[in-house]
Amino acid sequence: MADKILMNKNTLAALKIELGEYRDALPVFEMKEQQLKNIVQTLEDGISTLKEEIAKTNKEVRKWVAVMAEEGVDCSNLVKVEKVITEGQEIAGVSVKAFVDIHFEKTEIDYLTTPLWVDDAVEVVMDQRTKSTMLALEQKKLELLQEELAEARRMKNALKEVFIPETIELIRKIEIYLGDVERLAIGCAKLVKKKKQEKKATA
Amino acid sequence: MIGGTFEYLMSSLPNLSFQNTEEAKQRVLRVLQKYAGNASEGLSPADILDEEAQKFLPASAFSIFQKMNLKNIHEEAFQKNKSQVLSAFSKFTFELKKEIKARRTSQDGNDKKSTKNNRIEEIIGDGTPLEKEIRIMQYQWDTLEALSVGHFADMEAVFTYKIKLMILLRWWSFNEEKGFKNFIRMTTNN
Repeated sequence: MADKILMNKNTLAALKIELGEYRDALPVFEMKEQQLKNIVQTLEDGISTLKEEIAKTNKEVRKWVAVMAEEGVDCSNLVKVEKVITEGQEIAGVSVKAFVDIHFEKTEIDYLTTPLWVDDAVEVVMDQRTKSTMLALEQKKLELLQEELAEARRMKNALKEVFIPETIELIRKIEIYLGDVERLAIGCAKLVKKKKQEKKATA
Repeated sequence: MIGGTFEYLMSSLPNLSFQNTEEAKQRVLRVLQKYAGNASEGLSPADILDEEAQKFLPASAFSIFQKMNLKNIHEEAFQKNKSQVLSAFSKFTFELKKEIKARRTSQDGNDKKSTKNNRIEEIIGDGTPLEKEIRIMQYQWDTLEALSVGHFADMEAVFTYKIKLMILLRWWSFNEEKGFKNFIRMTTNN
């Protein structure tokens, strides 16, 4: 808001319009903040569930993961991500990517030369890769929505704590000033009138 | 190591039993490393055994001996070998791998018509993949013991020794920390 303003009726009218706009915008930002807060909470819960699932699988795999130390057997060649399919979503005005599916390259396992454990390893690695990919996308989504939430909160607070009270105060000052000016003008007019009448009487 | 016959070779090698204890492992590895002396650096226990066996085995037998490993032992070259134990174990492994392959294929969903092989189910059993692998190795070990009965200090015994060592080295290579590192690498790589 400008430091120096013109104390006139035009400014007063403009400020009243501005105040109306601020008052219209405030519930929008309040609603947006609430909506984003709910979405962020749901996302955080989802992320926490995904993390728990990944940790649980890691714990279960620990029981037999020793076999993956076997030399000459590398499962990383057997599990390669071909593509991750996502879809664009608009959440509270934010464009985000949501996980749809993950495709792995189809690699034939030589059942005669690879040990039996490879089958379980491939399955669990694919499962964890899927969850990790979902987690990465959800975390990115959360990051973007948290930024938007912070922005909505900043705007709401600015309107509520700064713009609206400052505008109200300015309007009050201008109204007082304009009132004073008006009273002064009436006083002057009365004085002039009185002096004119006295002059007429003495003449 | 004393040079000479198979008796010398076999009697000087550490005794192998189907165990995965640190003590059993260290006993075998220490003795083998002693044989290799300063040259043991960079050599695996199987390499050390190959070097020692080379002194006693005829060139043709050594060539086969050196090529043997658990991944290829089912191949035709080993099935047709003159060594009875090696040939029998190779055929046994081929059959075992075929049965396991059929089981894996049916579980993969590619061959839904295949019936359950009770024998292989009994060998593999339930449990974690680690438990299953140990049961398979135990089965290989027991079969090898049965096939090599009466062979203590001949060429058959040398072949048997190498197969047993390979089974043990495979089991001993199973390591939780290293395996978990590999697992995490596989789940995070793109």
